[in-house]
Amino acid sequence: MNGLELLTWARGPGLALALGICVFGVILRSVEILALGRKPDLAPARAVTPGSGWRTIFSRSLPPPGMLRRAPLTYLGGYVFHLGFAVTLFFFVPHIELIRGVLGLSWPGLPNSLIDAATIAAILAMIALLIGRLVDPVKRLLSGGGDWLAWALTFAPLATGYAAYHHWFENYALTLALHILSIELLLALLPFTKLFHVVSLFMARWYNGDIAGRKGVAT
Amino acid sequence: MSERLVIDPVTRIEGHLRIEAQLKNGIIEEAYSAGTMVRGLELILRGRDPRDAWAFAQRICGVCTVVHAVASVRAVEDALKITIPKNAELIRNLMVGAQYIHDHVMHFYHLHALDWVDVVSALKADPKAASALAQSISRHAQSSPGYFADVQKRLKGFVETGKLGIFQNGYWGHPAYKLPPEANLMAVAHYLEGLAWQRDVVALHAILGGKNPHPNFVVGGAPIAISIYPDHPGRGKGPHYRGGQGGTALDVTGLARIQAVIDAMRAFVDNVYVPDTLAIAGFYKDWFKQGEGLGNFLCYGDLPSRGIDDPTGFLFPRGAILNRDLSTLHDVDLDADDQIHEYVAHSWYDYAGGKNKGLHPYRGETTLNYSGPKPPFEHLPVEQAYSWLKTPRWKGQAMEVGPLARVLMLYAKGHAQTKELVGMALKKLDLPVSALFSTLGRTAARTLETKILADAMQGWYDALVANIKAGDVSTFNDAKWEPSTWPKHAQGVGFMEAPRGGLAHWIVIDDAKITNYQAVVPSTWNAGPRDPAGQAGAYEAALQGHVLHDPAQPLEVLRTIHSFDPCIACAVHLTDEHDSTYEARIL
Amino acid sequence: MQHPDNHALNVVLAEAGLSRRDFLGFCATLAAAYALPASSVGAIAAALEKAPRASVIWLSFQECTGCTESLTRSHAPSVEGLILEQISLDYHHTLQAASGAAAERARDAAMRANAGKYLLVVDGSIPLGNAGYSTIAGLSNLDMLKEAAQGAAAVIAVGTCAAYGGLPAADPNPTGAVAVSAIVKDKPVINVPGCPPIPVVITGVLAHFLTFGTLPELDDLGRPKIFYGESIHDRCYRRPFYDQGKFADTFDDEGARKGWCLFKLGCKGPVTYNACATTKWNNGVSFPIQSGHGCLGCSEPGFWDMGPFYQALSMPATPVQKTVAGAAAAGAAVGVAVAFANRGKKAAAKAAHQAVKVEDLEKKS
Repeated sequence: MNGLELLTWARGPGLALALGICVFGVILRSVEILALGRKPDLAPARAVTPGSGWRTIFSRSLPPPGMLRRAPLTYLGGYVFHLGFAVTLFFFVPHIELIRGVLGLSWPGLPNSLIDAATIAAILAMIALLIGRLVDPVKRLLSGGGDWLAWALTFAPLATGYAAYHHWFENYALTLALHILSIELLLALLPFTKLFHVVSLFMARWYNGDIAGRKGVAT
Repeated sequence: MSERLVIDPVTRIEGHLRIEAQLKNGIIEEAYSAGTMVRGLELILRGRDPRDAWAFAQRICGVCTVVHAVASVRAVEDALKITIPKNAELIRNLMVGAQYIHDHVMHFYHLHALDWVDVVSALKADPKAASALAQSISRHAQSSPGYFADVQKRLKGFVETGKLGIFQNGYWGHPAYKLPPEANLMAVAHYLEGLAWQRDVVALHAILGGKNPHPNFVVGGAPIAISIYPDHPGRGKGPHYRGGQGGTALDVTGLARIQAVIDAMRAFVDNVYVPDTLAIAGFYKDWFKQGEGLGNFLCYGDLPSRGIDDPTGFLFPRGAILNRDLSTLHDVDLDADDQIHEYVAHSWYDYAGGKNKGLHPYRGETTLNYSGPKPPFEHLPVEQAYSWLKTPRWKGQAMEVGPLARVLMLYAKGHAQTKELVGMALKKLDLPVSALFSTLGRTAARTLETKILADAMQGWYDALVANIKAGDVSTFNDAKWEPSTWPKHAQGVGFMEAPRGGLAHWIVIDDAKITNYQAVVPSTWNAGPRDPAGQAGAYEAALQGHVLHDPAQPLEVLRTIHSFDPCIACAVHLTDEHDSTYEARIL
Repeated sequence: MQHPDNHALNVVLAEAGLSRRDFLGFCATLAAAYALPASSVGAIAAALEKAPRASVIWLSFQECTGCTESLTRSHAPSVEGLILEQISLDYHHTLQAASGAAAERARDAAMRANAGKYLLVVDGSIPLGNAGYSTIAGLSNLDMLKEAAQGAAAVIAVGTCAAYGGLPAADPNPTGAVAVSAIVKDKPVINVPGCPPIPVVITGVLAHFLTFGTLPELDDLGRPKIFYGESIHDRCYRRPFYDQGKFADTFDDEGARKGWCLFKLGCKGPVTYNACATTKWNNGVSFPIQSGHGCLGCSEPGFWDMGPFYQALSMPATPVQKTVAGAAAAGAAVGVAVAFANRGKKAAAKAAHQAVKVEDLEKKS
């Protein structure tokens, strides 16, 4: 199998398989979580704060007072990585075409120079976060296999994508195939690692915000 | 004495054709035409995106490299009810026209000429006499004694190396060669000029299609956008300011180059091709009396001026002629279930309903079943299946397609230029109209229609320029581009007149995928094997009665076969071989 | 007519009175192709003039004659210059005068006279599904190829069909078509893919062999690096538009007319290695992208099965919607099943739960 055949496999059966596993896992776990249910809260609400749950989804993205200064790397690194990753993912024209191919949705893209900058920022942020994790004894102690795996799964598409775009290797088709395969690995494992937060985060924050609102606690 | 003639490979054609013939005292009693190569393209096309089909279908043939692509996009457009913009129609006509002119000239000089022209004899020519001959028939510039002396010197140098290359084992010195040495020298010179000419004039395809062979097409119009802005104010950032970067090949330079190509085409056709055909034909008048073939002719019609759905606007009309009767023209319907049928009685295919059934192409089947002898073999069992070509029939009739069919159709319809050209040619050669039904009639018809097309090219070009001037730069209709706009089930037929004759592709689309694709190509009509009733195809019929001077040098067979301009990948290789009397692979 | 000694090209030239300018033009093309200094033109000319016309045998199998047509479109060297002055094209169905037995005799004679020295050119794939799928003179393509390859100095597989199987080998490969390299294992095989290959690339590879008597440097797919070393995308004049994020969305929109990038219309330029964007086609007139249509990827193995031509390279090669929908349904079903199992566990835990009173605790202590 040469680079191009691997690429065609990755764009065809590979993609279908990865997306299939991803969607299967996301729905399975979501149903599982939601079906666990909660006992009804029979106590009268202390305050009526409509939209508390929705607000919390966003407000929790902001650092609590003082935390930015105490853990600048975690917050700034996290922001830069997440924004850079999102810009690259959603505004690089080939990616938009992929989304159009799967979902039929489409929007304008950004010039490649901006995408390039966003990718570099995301890559540097990820490296900084990794070093931070390795150097800080507390973080190192708290880190398990799942954390290292999640980092690697996220870093691989960025690195291979950057290498493919800049033709670091002679065999472009192979590099591109590896890029797509790395994304497919990410997709397939996403529901079963802590990366599931891309879905569960919204549910959890909404629930916490809503319950706190009923109890009259500001979130 | 009865003997078997086998010619395989038939060379100077496209594809793999084998001719077997039963000879009696040097006369052909029965001839059999066999295509000996199959790729199963119709099977490869199933399940694919109909918009991609043209690229696959185009690779049916690299000689008539435009025609299958055009038939394919038209089939999809017919199925999905897509109309194309005026500019796209003109661009396609220019590409099809250029294909004809290029192809016919190459066929005449590089495939067919060596049947009539003895290359070795040209060495004996007097360059001065050759020059006088050339100047007497044409005002073509390259005709000085010095020019012919140079060509002769080049040829001599080549022959003296002792390596004849492509001319090795030609039938040089065969008594059927009748041209004087000077005419042979002139033809050799034009053989070489033709090679140079053809590679320049394909520039038209390169501009409009990106490359040749196999230029690009697209369902819904032409892929090339027009990078000319007639309403641009001339400076600054006007409505279409494009900052001097990029653009397509169809800009003002490209347009000017197309005009230059058309000029070069017309000059060569008028000054070289037409005079040469008439001059050479003058030495072979007996070939206007043989190779008649079927006498039935079929045209689908092509080169639209008001859209493909309006046959009244076609340059080449549609219709059928039976039994050489030019006074009655029959209507032809490609969609009708009872008109065009394909048979496999003598082909290496199976039909679910049995070998003797005929199927309309919409219901066509492609199931390969090679039942011939295991290679290496000597003969094909002609009473059973013997070809990879199917056998198409129109209302049960074997039909001839191609230049002769078209010229007869135009003639019968009273097309003024055709009447004038045919009249001129027959008068020069001192022949009756019935002389058209012959080997050289076919060859002459090809030349005459080339002249008609070369003139029509200018008209299409002028119309394209006028359209652009008027501000119309539309080349593509994207209304039905997305498969989501298509019906769940659709079927259509894309037809055209290819240089070798009527060509049609039938397509069936279900859920945006091809579920059946059948191409019935000109050489299938002409070169197909016998039908279940035993009726011969056009090649087979035309060869009947040919007298062979020497069966080991079957020049006479090649003349008639080449007069059809076989294109067998489209449709199959001819083998002359052995029997008791002569052994093929001896050294 | 078969002289045992070959006349050197310079003698032929002198005798034939061929324009020396034409000849030097060809040498200059070669020098440019190999990025040699202009001063080397004289040296190449000298090398070629000493070369006798090498015998070339050209076999056509499952093909469409597009590759031969492309050969005739070569400007430098021209096809007539090539066959009259540079090679001895001893067998070539489309061009040779002789048919049938006479043609086959010419092939046999050339193979014997030049054993071990002739160049074998093949266009078209070879069907292994059934020997009867393609025959010439009653011989199967496989037998003819094996026979002709035996005495060849090298084999040039012209066109994607001969190089990689091409169109006949496209899914579902009804005739079991394979490439030349799948059969010829004991001779050097040079792949010159393309559908068809660029005219000057075909003659350029022939010229390399004639000039240097060696094979050009090949990439891992057996293609000469000088012509197939860079991707169309990297040398495309529209590349700046790709980088600026400017794309044609359809074939005649503003972007299309301004020559913006054709990536969204399915251009396979990024993964296609060929010289189209640099040498262009038909004497440098244009190439597919310049004429508004995306690259089909025709010099790459398996390009017919790379997914629909008009889908962007980043789009799924085959539809994924059905798989995803199936996976979603399966996920929901398994999720519900797991949820029930969890509830069951919860209920069982509840049932097994023993109420403990303060008195019980006190009793124990």
